[in-house]
Amino acid sequence: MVTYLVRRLLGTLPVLLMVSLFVFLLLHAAPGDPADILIPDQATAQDVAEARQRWGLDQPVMVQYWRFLSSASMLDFGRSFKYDEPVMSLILERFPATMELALLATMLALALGIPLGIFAASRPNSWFDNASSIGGFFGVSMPNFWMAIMLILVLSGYFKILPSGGRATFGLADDPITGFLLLDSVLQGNWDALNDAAKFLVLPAFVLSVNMTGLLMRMTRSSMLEVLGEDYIMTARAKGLSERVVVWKHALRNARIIVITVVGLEFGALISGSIIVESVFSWPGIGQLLLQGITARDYPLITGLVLVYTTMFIIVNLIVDFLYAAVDPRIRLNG
Amino acid sequence: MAETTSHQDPVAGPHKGLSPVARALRPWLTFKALLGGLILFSFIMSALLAPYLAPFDPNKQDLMRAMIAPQWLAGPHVFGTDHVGRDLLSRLIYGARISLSIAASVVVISGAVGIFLGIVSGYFGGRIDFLIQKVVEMVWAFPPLLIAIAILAFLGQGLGNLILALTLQRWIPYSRVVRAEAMTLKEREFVMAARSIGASHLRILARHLLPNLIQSALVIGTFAMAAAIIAEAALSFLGLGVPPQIPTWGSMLADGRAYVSTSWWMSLFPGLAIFATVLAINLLGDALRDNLDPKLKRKL
Repeated sequence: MVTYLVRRLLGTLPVLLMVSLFVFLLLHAAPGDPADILIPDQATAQDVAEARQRWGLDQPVMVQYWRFLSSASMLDFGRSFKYDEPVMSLILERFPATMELALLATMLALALGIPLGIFAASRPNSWFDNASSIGGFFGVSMPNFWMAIMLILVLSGYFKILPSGGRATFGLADDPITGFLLLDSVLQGNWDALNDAAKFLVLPAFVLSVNMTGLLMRMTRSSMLEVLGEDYIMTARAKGLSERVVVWKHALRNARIIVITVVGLEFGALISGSIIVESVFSWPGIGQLLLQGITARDYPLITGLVLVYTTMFIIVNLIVDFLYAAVDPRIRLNG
Repeated sequence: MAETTSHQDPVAGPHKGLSPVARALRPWLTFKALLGGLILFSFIMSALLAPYLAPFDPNKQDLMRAMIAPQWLAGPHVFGTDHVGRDLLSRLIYGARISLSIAASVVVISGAVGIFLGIVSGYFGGRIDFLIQKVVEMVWAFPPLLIAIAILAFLGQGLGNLILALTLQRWIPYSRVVRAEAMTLKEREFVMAARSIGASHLRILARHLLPNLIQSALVIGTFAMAAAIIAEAALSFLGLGVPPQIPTWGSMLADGRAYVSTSWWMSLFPGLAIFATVLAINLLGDALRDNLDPKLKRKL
């Protein structure tokens, strides 16, 4: 097990290296001199000279890449043009908002997708099963940015139940502890702030969860149908166990693998989706920061965010692999 | 036990007595395939015939006629007009052209690249395979769409960059499936037979392997088309796609976003067009998979 983990961990290093090389090359492929790109338009001649020095633009390309790599590995991506702050502190400031959104969306998907899938599988070809399969088709075909706008139109515009964007009502929450507003307000016992934060969070999180919910539902259903045909289920039934115990206890054990697979598979989509959802709901996370950076052609910021997103994705994939190994002994032994 | 019927010889089975044409068509006459085909066909036709179908010039602004609500059949602006008075229906029809052709180019290019690299990787194995798989691993390390956003952010907007950005990751599903199939196919007797009579690698790849892989690739291509339409719309929605003067469904949706509380139609119709097209392609893809390649059902 330990060898497997170590080998898997070491295996991500070359990938990270190649990713950083790719981003470095993109930076160089951008139209114009990197010196012009890496510093703001209103820079003076002295600024340009400093930037050349800082980024080592007078050095050979390999040296430049080495500098880029060594500062990136120290999480130093330079200063943002737009905000005139270190890129990493900007990212850290916005990171909890994105994580809160992504985590809640994942939890919503698990809470909805698995029970619905099991329910559909335990009554195959019933009206519920058919309806959920049509719902699944709609779910995968629905562009989430459009769904977000339509929900804002109906729930915030017409019924005025939920806010249309932002993260909290100004001045309601206390000073952040963790940056996760739900958690912070519970820790501080500020129930008004909790209620407020939940209202702002529910719509973006729901929109973000829809694709994962659909996939979880479909995969839970199909693997439950497969498992329910196995001999050990027949044995369990023959022992006289109630259908509820058979379905929810015996068959569901197999759902662990599906959960890990789907969450792992869909996490990348969730990250990309969060960029769009943050944009629609003006959610102050790193996705919105990325889009603002792109509009301002703030290259240090874009570079830092692309590397952070990708590293996050690689880490989640690594965790997924470890969980596989923990849950399924066959992988551990063969790996 | 209901499955046994589908395994029977089609001639001896329930379709006995039908003409060969009817028998060939039979599996396609499902609700899914028909509905999907019909919707997609009408969108493709409207894209092709846009200059004849569109009632107005899609880019003609008329501030006097801005934000007219849908008039349905009662007036000239069936779906209403946008914030600068452009006819929404005409823009939707022209938008179909751009959205569908970008998606189609992405699917064709990424399909060609993916099939080529997959087949080479699987057939030759060894060092070539190792190298290609390393590239796959790197490209796959980026969250989907982020790599496209990064490329458009650094290289700038434009049709070419958009297609490049969308293609860069989409060849991978093809290459994976094709590689796996090529690896098993190359051990089969007919390939060995071809090799033993002195057929060149190129000939084996083109004449013996490719025809056996094309069906799976077709099924992947269909789903890839649906994904490409959504991705293009998402990028255009974020303002990263094609330049603003070209109407695409995604950029129309982005225009409508600011006016959602006053002019809901500006957001409803473009989104509905994206949704209907993607739904149609997914329905067709499902039918295609059921008929051509039931094995893939578990992989996709």
